[in-house]
Amino acid sequence: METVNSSLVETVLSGDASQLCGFKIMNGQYAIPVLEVQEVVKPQRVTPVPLGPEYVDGLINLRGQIVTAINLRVLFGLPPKEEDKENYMNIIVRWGDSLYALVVDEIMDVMDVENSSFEDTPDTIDETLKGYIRGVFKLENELLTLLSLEKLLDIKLR
Amino acid sequence: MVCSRMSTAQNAIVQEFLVESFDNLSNISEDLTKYEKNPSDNELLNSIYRKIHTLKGSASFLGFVQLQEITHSVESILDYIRDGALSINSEFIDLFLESFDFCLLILKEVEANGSEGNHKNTELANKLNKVLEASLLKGESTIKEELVIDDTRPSSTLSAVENQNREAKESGEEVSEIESALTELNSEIDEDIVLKTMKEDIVESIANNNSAPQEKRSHVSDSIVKVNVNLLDKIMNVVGELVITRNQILQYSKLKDSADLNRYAQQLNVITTELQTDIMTTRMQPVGSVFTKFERIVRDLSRSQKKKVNLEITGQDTELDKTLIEVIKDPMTHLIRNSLDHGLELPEVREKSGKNPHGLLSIKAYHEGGQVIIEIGDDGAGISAERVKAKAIEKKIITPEEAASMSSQKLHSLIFHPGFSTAEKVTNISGRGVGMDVVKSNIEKIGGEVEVISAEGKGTSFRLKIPLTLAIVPALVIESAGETFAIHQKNLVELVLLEQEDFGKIENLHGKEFFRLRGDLIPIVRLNSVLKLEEKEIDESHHFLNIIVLKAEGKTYGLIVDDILDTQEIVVKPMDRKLKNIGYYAGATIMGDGRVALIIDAFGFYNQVDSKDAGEKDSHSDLMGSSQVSDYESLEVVLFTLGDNRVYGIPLSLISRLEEFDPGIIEWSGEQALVRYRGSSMPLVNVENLLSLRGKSRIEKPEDRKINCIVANINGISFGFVVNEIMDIALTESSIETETIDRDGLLGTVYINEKLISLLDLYKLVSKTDVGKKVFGESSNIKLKGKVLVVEDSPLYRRVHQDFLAEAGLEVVMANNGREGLEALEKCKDFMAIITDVEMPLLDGFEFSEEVRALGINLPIIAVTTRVSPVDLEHGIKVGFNYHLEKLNKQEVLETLSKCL
Repeated sequence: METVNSSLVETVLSGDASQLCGFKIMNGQYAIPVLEVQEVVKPQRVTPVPLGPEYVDGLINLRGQIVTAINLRVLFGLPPKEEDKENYMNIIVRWGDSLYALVVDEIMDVMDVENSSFEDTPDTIDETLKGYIRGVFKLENELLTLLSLEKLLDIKLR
Repeated sequence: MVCSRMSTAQNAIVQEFLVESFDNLSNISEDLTKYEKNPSDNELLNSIYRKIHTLKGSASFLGFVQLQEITHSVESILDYIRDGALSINSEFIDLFLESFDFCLLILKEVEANGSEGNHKNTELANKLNKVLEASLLKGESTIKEELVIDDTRPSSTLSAVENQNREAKESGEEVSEIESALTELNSEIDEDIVLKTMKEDIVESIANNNSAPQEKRSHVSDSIVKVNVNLLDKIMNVVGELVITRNQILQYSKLKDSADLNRYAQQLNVITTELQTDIMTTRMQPVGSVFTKFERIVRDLSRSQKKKVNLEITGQDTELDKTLIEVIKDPMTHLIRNSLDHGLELPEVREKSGKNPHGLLSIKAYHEGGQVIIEIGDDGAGISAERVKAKAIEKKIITPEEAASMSSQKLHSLIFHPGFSTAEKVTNISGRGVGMDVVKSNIEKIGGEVEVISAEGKGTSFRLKIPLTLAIVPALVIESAGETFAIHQKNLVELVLLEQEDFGKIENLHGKEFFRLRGDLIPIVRLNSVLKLEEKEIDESHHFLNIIVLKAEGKTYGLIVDDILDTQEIVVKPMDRKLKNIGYYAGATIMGDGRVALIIDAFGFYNQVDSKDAGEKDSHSDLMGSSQVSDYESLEVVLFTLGDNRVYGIPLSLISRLEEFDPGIIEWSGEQALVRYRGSSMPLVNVENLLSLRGKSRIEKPEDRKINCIVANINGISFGFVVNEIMDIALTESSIETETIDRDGLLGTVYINEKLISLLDLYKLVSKTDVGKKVFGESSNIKLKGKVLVVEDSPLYRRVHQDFLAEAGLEVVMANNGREGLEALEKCKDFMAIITDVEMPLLDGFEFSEEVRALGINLPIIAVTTRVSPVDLEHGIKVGFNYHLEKLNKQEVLETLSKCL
């Protein structure tokens, strides 16, 4: 088992293939390198942070550690879930000294993708989203958007 | 981190060498500066010598040539000094310090790269050699004269002798003479070396026998273990987790009804608390370890600035968590540097202002109220409020209007504002560009506070308040809008439960809410509003408000929350730094039930409160001069009951204190009850007797309860008016009716809360007591004639003045404030004197006086005021007061008037 990347530097895509942790938000498919993922947990009790940014759902207790929950739907400017609100997943990542939970709709499998299928962010992508994307993987049937953890976690006090 | 070229065995040796050498060098600079001040301290010199000697030996063994050469030269010079051939001077000290720095540099190089690197010691070595040669020349001449080796002389190493030989040859002496001298030397040398070694041994053993701290430490060090700080941190974390789990178990055991579980849970509680305390202790280190470093810094700075400084350090034994010690090093360095740069003046300047040319820099550390206080003070030039004001306005931190209304204390604290001091020079000493704002934020980051106290011309003092430890803190747990929050107990002053009928006590001024807490007006903040939380539906059974009185940075305010739950020890977990920047939260914690709760930052909340409105709560609750809302002509009255179970009142402004006595301490002098109060005997006034009321005073029937009494100062003497129960303080805008009184000793009646309350006339009551009669005599003894202008904004005092001045025969004209006073002076030109209050709206007493003098009116001005401080007295003289008296001393006022008329 390879260790989690705990430094403040993003995992570099090297070699022929990469292992990614894929997840779905609305109709889109996204991924981050599997090395950046510590674990995946089911919905937890969240303590909201009043006056905090919209996309911060609040704080979660993960075995005694405080985890900041970031709602990617809100971050990406997507409409909130209409029904089935309790059905989501938390992807726990570590960045520097802190733990964060990326709130997503559904977790997909760990995927092996060819690095040759990687392309830079197309211009057609929404501006809000562009800032968080490192690029896309063109798979057989779909597009897999590779997200930048650094950009996602750069919490701005909007 | 050592270069992998070395084998592991050598690696370990070098590591060992590094640890030992760093340790040796760590205090050597401080030892040297101490020795400089105390050149007779041979033990200190020896200790320095031994350290260098050890360093030289190890350096030589490990092949660190640069290091070896330098330490060797230093050792030789130290030897000369030790043996008395050379005496220490500041040039040597400089040289030594430079050498130590170089050694440190080499050690760091070795630590990082395994070798000495490219550092060359040539320049330093040359300097050292010059010193050595100079001293050798001294030695050489002595040899020529005596040809005997005095075994206290240091020149007994062969190399030194060889040097001499060379020198002698070069200076053209006859070789034969030198040779014979040499032969003799050689024969003596062996003896000498033996003698020298013996001497060293003797020195060592003497040192061992002395209970010098060095040696003590080596005995104590047998029971000391060196532990890596990271390991301690880890243990602290684990203990933190243990505390959380203990909380959870305690909570669970409360729910379950098992006696056994309870017992075990309690045991766990006791053990965990003990473990927690012990672990926190391991991380505690005396701050002295950091303070001694400052000796060197101060020395260097004072030399470079050409200022004379005496450094006084006290409280070195005060202990602080190790990590916190690391954090305060930089801020302290900056503050010290600031004192030396801007605070202390040059010796000439100091002498001119009558100060000792040696400036005083004091560093103090002590424990107070769960915190460690570190004070860095100097007796230098102080902070010029004017200059700060100008700079702040220039940098657009405040507007000129704001500046005008700021107290000098407020102005001084502007120096901590980011943007106040831009372009602070980066110096060698502080290392990075630091400004006062960085000092403040660094200290606040660890939960501490910084304040500055300064008096222009006298000096400046910085106070750092640092919490004893961060991680596990006692907190108050509250609930608001369905969410749980925690507040650090250090900010907690008290809890107030406001019943529904008292909701009116919350006053609304200029759109902000205030609450009167025993006479002081404090601003109120509603947690739900500030955090924009959803208000809980008004529960009909919820007939009360919870006000949590908090104190942060010296300011007090009240926080209204829905429910107060419990006090608990919580583990502070850091929050994402950017969330912390919201300002309201100090962190997060995990409650016993596993939920996350936010920790409220009392200081951050305070920032949201308009700082102008935050009342200052004096810790002695001195009610004299309590804030009166000057917009209204209202009166604050203290309500209480007497022996006839009726409610009476005394105007708050006449009261010094509210006290409680044990009936056992009452003493009797004839019929007069007395009590020891603040060092003298205070007469107790039996109000019921003097007013001939039904019912008895508590003095006569104490009923084994504490006796309540209201202390007031009449004509300079404190009297204690004994009452039954003190009920409340009320604000009334009604005027005092005097027609309704039916006996002497009552001022009149007022309407308070729909009831008619009788006000006591303290002066009259006192004059009816035996003590009063004796001390005061009758004020009607003084009869005066003439017209007097009385300027006073309080209706109560207007009445008081009216009464006794008229009684003395004077014609009194009233003015409500300074403006009206000036108008009156214009209209009427035959006043004999002016009596004026000082604290008034629109135009205060000082300004009024200035205006009067400016108009050319030379009438005697008698200022009467509740508080007379030396500063006020001075100010008063400047603006033209002829006399400055205390308000309630009618006798004094009349006597003064008779002087003027």
